Amino acid sequence: MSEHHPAGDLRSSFHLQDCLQCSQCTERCPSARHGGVRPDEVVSAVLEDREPQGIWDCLLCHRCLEVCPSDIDIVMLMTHLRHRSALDGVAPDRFLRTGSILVKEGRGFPSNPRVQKQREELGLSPLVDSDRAMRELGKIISRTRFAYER
Amino acid sequence: MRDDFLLYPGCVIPSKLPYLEAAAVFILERLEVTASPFPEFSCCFEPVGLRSLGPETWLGACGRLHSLAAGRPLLTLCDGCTLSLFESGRILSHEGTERREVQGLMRELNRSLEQVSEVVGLLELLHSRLESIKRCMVKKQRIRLLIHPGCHCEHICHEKGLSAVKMMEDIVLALGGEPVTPSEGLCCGGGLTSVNDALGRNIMEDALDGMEALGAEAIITSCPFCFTQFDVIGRRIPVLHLAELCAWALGWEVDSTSFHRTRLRPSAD
Ligand code: SF4
Ligand code: SF4
Repeated sequence: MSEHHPAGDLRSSFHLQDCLQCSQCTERCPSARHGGVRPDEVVSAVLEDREPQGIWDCLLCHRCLEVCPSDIDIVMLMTHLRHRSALDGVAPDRFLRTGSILVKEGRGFPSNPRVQKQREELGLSPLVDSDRAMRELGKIISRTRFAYER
Repeated sequence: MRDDFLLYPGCVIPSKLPYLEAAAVFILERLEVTASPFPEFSCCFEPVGLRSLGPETWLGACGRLHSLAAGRPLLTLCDGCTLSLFESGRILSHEGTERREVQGLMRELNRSLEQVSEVVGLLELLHSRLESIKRCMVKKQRIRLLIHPGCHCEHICHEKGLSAVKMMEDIVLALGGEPVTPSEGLCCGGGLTSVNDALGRNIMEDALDGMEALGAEAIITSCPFCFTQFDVIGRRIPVLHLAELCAWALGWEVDSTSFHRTRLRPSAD
């Protein structure tokens, strides 16, 4: 298991021992319905110190949260499991690329000259990010464990 | 609801779908909603991909945004931003390690985090201004629309004790349209594009099958990610963003459907 977000920590911070294995989360899950991640199994895997399967197939749609009778925050659990995997170098390229674009440009989804022209035609101001905002964001990134394509 | 908003436009709408920002700005002017531009904008680290790469980074970046807002309510155009700012606000409003760490980060930036802001999405704002919309309306939108607020919008509303589906139905009705509501819990699958395309497509096609059977002219959504997924990847049913529909009803003259990939066929009347 990874040294980042150890399973024991996740078990206690997300009070996973309260899971009733009722599978209501999985019944509501659009990913599970189509053969993707099963949130109940992710919870069991962390409880039993096994590697959870399919964490990148989660849409972070929050549907499971709304039905869990034990109030387990599956979305943040999934987020921390994904973070741990990303720190170990395993994450979808699409996310890692978006991460590096954000680090360089200050926004994950930057503009391009065609859109800047459209903005002008629509009477919108050009998109310019302030130097101070970029500097501050850079500092936050450097002080926290952000995984991106370097 | 306080109404001295700061407008937080996010990255996706201004950078990829500027006509939705233009529509929203038009609506705010017509309804005389005070919404100043967000100062020193930076990204909210949307909750699907970017937050997974750094939950602490996400909380720090959102903490900075709450710090800049200094208690003024945030008006968001994108449901990814609404969720990021809303969930971070909830964490940061509690005394605890996470809040202390973010306060430490803010001190390094010569900023402080005293309070968090209320976060209001466009759907919630428009629903709170229904009477004003009816008064200002100049052109009814007679169109049969499939109600799809999207998972994140529905979740935030659920947390606030509101129903996103009901609010969207009310708005479509008030604008002269006919809302059609598919079964609940349909997801656009967009979070899996370029991650697991086959799975994402199956989830989306399932949603589109359920919607197509209801025979409406277009889908209506308030989420730019659902909008793009149905417009660019789905391409089976045209999709409108709530901002476009409302702006047209209030007299916006831009034919923003010219920017869509899946064109809306003009209705018979
Ligand atoms: S957040 Fe993930 S696990 Fe939960 S219902 Fe959505 S896709 Fe399934
Ligand atoms: S809904 Fe909650 S209690 Fe039931 S299996 Fe899922 S995580 Fe466990």
